[in-house]
Amino acid sequence: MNKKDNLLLEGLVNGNKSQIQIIYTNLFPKVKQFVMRNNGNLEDAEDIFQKSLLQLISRIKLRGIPEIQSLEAYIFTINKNLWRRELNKKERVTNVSINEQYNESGQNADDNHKIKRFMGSSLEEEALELLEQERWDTYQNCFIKLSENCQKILMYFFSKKPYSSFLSEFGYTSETVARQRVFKCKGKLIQAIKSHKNFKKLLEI
Amino acid sequence: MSINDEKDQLIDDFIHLRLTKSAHEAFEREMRNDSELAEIVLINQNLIQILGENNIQLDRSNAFPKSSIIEAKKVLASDYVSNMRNVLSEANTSYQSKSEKKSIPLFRYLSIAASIAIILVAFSLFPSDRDSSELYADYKNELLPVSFVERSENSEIAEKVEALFKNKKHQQVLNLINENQDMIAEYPNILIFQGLSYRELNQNQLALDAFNKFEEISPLDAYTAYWHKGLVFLKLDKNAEAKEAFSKLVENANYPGYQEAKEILKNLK
Repeated sequence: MNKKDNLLLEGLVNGNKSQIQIIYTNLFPKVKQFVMRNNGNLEDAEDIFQKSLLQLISRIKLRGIPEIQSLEAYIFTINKNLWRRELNKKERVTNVSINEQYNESGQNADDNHKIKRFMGSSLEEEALELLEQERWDTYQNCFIKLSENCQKILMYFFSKKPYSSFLSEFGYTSETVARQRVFKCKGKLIQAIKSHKNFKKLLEI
Repeated sequence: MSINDEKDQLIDDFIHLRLTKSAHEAFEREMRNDSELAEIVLINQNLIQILGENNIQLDRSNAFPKSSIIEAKKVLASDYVSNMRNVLSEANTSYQSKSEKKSIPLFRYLSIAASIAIILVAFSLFPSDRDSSELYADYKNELLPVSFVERSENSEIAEKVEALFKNKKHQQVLNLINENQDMIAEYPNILIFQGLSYRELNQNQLALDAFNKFEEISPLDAYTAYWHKGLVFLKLDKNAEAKEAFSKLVENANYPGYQEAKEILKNLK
C-alpha cells in the first residue's frame, strides 16, 4: 500500500470522519454501480459498503493489516464477495432479531431502520464472512506468488475450460500433458496454502 | 499421504458429483479415515469457489475452526466495533444526504452549467493576475509522486523508474514503462512518472492521457491526477481547463495539494 492508502486506512480504523468521507466519495459510486448492475438497489449498496468497511476494521483489530496492494481494489473485492454471498442466500434476511448491543437509544426511527438493515447479519454470520474473506486473501496471496504460467493454467482450469482447449492455448501436445501441468501447478498452490501461517486458523476438517 | 494425478482426478470428480453413488460413498468413507485427504478436498473446494468464482456449497459452520469463529465474534461484539458501527452508519447518512443535494433538477443543472461556461469563457478572454507559465514554473515540482521504495515485492522496475526520473532521464523512463506495461496494475503510480516524463519532453497530450488513465484506474488517488493535469494545462496556457482541474482539488480540504490549488486559483482570477 502507498502512503495515501495507509493514511486512509488509519483514518478508517480511528473513525476519522473526513477520511471516511474520502473513502465514500472515491469508492461508493463504483460499489453502487456494481450492486445495481447485479440485481441490487441503492439500499443494498449502502448496506454492503458499510459492512465491507466494518469487516475491514474488525479484521485489522483481529489480526492486523492484511497483505494488500491497493486499498481501493481491496475494499471493492470485499464488496464483491459480500454481495455474491448475499445473492446466494435463498431468502434475503430483512428483519432478523438484532443483538441488543446494536440498539442505540435516542436515534430516530429512520436511523434505527438503517442500522437494523445494516446490522441484519448475526454475529455468527459476520464472523463467517470475515473468516471467508481472510481465507480468500490467503488463497489469493498464495496464488499470485505462483509463476505467471501456473497462474494462467490454473485460471484456465478453474474457469472450467475443457482439457482439449489447453492444446491450442498453451501449445501442449496432448490432453495428458495438460492434465499433468494442471496437477503440478495445483500441487504447488496447495502446498503454498498449507504452509501459510494462517492456514490452521482457516480450515476445519 | 501423497496425491497422484489419478487421485487428483478422483477428487475433482467427487467435488463435481461425477462419481456413481457407490463410488461417491466409498470416497466419503475414505475421507473420514484420512484427514489429509479430507483437507485436500476442502482446499480444492475452496479453490473452486475463490478462483473459479463458483458457488459450490460448503457447510460453512464446519468450514472454520470453532476457536477462530469465537475469536472473530469476540472482536465483532467488542465496544470498539460497536462504536464503529455507529460511526459508519453516520458516515453513510452524511454521504448520502450530500449526494442527494447534488442531484439537482435538470433545468437547474443546465442553467448552472451555462453560467459556468460563461464564467470560464470570460476568464479565458481576460488576462490573469499572474501569467500561467509563471505559475507553472512555481509549482511544477510540487507534489511529485510518492516513492516506490516503501512498497514491498516486485518493486525493482518501479524503483528503477523512480531513479531514472530523479536523474531526469525522461526518455529512458518512458522506454522502461513501455516495456513493462503489466506493472501498471500493481503500481498505478508509474502512470504519474510516465505523465511527468511526457510533460518534460513536451509531449503534453500524452502526459494528459497518462494522468487520465491514472485517474480512471486509481480513483482513490484521483486528486494526484487533477493536480498534474492542472499543471499541464497551465503549461499549455489553457487557463479554463487548468481552473477546472484545480477546482476539483479544492473540493476537499483533505486532498494533498488543496492549499496549493487554492493559491493557484486565486492567482488565476
